[in-house]
Amino acid sequence: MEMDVSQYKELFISESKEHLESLNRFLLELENDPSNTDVLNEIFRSAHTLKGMSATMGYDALMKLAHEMENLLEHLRTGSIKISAAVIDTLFMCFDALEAMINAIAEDKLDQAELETVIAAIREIIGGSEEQSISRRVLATDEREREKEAEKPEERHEALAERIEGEHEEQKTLEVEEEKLKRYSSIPGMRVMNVEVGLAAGCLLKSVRVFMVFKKLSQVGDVIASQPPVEELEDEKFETAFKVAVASPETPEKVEKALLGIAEIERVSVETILEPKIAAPSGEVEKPEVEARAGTAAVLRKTQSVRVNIERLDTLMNLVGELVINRTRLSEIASSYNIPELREALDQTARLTSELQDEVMKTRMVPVENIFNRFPRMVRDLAHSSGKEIDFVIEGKEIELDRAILDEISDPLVHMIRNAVDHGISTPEERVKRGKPARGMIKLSAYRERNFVAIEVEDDGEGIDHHEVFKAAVKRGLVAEDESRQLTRDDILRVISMPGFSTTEEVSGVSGRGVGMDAVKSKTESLGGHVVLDTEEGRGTRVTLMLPLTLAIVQALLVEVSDEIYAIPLGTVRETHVTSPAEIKTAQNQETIFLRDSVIPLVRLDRLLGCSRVLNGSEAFPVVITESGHRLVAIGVHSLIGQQEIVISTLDKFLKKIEGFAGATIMGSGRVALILDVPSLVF
Amino acid sequence: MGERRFTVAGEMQLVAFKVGKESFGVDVKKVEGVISLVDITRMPRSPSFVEGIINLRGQIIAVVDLASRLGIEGSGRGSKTRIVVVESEDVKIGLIVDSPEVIAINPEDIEPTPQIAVGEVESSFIKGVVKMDDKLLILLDVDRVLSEEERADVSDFEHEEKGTGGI
Repeated sequence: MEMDVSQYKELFISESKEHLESLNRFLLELENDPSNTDVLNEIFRSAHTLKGMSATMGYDALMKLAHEMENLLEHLRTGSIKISAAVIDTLFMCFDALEAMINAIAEDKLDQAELETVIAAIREIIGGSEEQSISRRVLATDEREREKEAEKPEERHEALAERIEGEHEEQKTLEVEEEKLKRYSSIPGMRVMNVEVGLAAGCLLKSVRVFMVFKKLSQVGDVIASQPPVEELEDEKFETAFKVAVASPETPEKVEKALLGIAEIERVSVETILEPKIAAPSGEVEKPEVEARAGTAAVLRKTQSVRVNIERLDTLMNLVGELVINRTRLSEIASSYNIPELREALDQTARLTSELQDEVMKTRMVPVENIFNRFPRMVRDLAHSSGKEIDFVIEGKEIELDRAILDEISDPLVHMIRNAVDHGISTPEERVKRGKPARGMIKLSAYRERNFVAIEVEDDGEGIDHHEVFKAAVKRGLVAEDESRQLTRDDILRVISMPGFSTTEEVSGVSGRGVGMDAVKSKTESLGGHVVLDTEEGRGTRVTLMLPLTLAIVQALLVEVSDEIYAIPLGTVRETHVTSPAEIKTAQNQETIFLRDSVIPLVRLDRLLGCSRVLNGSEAFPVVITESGHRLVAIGVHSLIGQQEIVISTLDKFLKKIEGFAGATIMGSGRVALILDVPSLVF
Repeated sequence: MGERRFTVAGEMQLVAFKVGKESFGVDVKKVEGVISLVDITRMPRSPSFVEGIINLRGQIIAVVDLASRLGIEGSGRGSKTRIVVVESEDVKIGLIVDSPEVIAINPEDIEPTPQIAVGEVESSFIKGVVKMDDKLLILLDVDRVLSEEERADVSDFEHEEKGTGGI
């Protein structure tokens, strides 16, 4: 009974990546505080869920590794193995291997090469001989739990059989132990409820939904018991329905509502088993221990949401971009005619378009934690390998930014944080020698500032030595000597972000300081933002990226004429074609080309824009067939560069009146390219 | 403009620079910064004094060849050529000039604009003149250089131009 699960692959990948992210986060917490059992349990739970999901999807290698990892975690939970640096490193290695495998799955290739070494590392810690008995114990974690075999890939059929068996159990009422009930009934205001949850038919990754139900319930109260037991639920040994007993001060309606907010939960019925006591009895008003608690430290997102394919959002965004360009064009036309009704309608359209644009922009906003979360791990690894001690602080991770911007700044941030670790913070001995605490501090923060979001990497390290920077730059011939008299922060930034500065070989104190800074600067500027650098010798360095909240993005075709680059919004492009001089006919002083029986007027961009080099009559050249209204025009260019997403910057008042351009865009190189407004340019 | 230098009470700070043979000064408050000559993207259909557009820290601004704008003879680009970014009525513009430096003058030394042109420079662009040791410094009226009238010229020019290259 093989299910076709391929359609759920995307969901599986995104959910398992979320699990990996929290695994990494929790493990860092555990490393800092090995006594924190809540965090350890959280890691265990995530690993377990990951295993269950992999099993459902039939990714055996992934499941195998998750299973081995769980073995080790179980040892940590019982205390039979102490948490040590070696254990933490091994677990991180596991996470990396899991990530590599998930990425391989995403790309439809499964590479198991690393698997064996990782598993060997785990087994070395556990000790090979013990292994068999342990895998049995792994799943028999709680006393409540029934004995059962560890789920191995070849045993999936047995598991299935058990699942069918489970159906009978489903009919049984949920029995809550008398003693537990008593404990809860003694707490004033606590209502004990029997919650029956039905998942949508065809729901895959049921364990994930179960997990969410438990999370939700533990937000409103305490989970007392479940039918079937938690571990079976997590292993998806149930059909579509399960029962949970919960003690909560909330009303049954509230509980029901909370659960219905979860995706793929089809029905929920809540019945009260024990009404709450009204008067508080004297004596202990203690919260009882809860065994079947599902989530502790995890951050919960409360808003209801739908997963949308990013490509769809991008398409939507592009359409809105085109719409905005067209609206501007329409307003221009209207301004030459004095028709009050048209003006009114256009005003309305303009208002709606900008609202639509705002809303679409908002759907693309994601919290910066999406990328911030990967950095604690990176800083840890970098610090370990360079023998430095670093406290990594994150602030403002809830600040939202356009997804496109966030994707783009991920690499620059890596450069910035690397620089802070490699060149900002020195070794503990050196720091102590300079009268600083041995542990360095790196802070990654995000905050709003007017229409910008600032993303900042700050360290309390050595700062940048102004003179060294200039000496190095002069030596490399990047700046003229006389400039070194007055250097401002902007100058330093300019110098260290010059391409080529980063390759400066061995100049003490600054070598490599500029690694990637040119990339950081050009990337930020191409997004319509800018970089601010603050540095004080001996005190530290702060690099701030000031980024726009959202981008006006449009798909465009980049073309070249006489070494100048222009962008043509894709919305007006119908096709491209290479035309030879023989195809060009001249009628009434107008060049035309023939394309599939239609005569299309030809406009040569080099002549139209007065370029320095104009093609003579004998060369073949590409044409871009543009469409505006029902009219086609072939725009002749020198070469086609390619299709690209570009960020539209509007031209200021000084240049706005020049017709033919919809704005400009800053390219990756930092150069500016004009965006052609085809209708006003050629018609 | 990151750093402020000392200001003696009553002193006025100028960014002084040369264009061709003439020396000019612009009130430091109007100056956003000085940058080196970067890659300028040509702006087709613009008046000849518009050199093109550049990326100034993520913002796109126009760059004007000041010599050509003032109708005087320039001295070509050299190692001391810079772009002085000035701001007027929320519009930032880069001016191509030579050897910019910050100087301090006594406002009392400013003399009213002579009725006739100073050297080759038309008097309407001049706010006043300051006699320095060996030369005459022209206080440039930045607002006038980028005035509404001139912006209108930009579009007039464009209208003239239109039709010659189109279909």
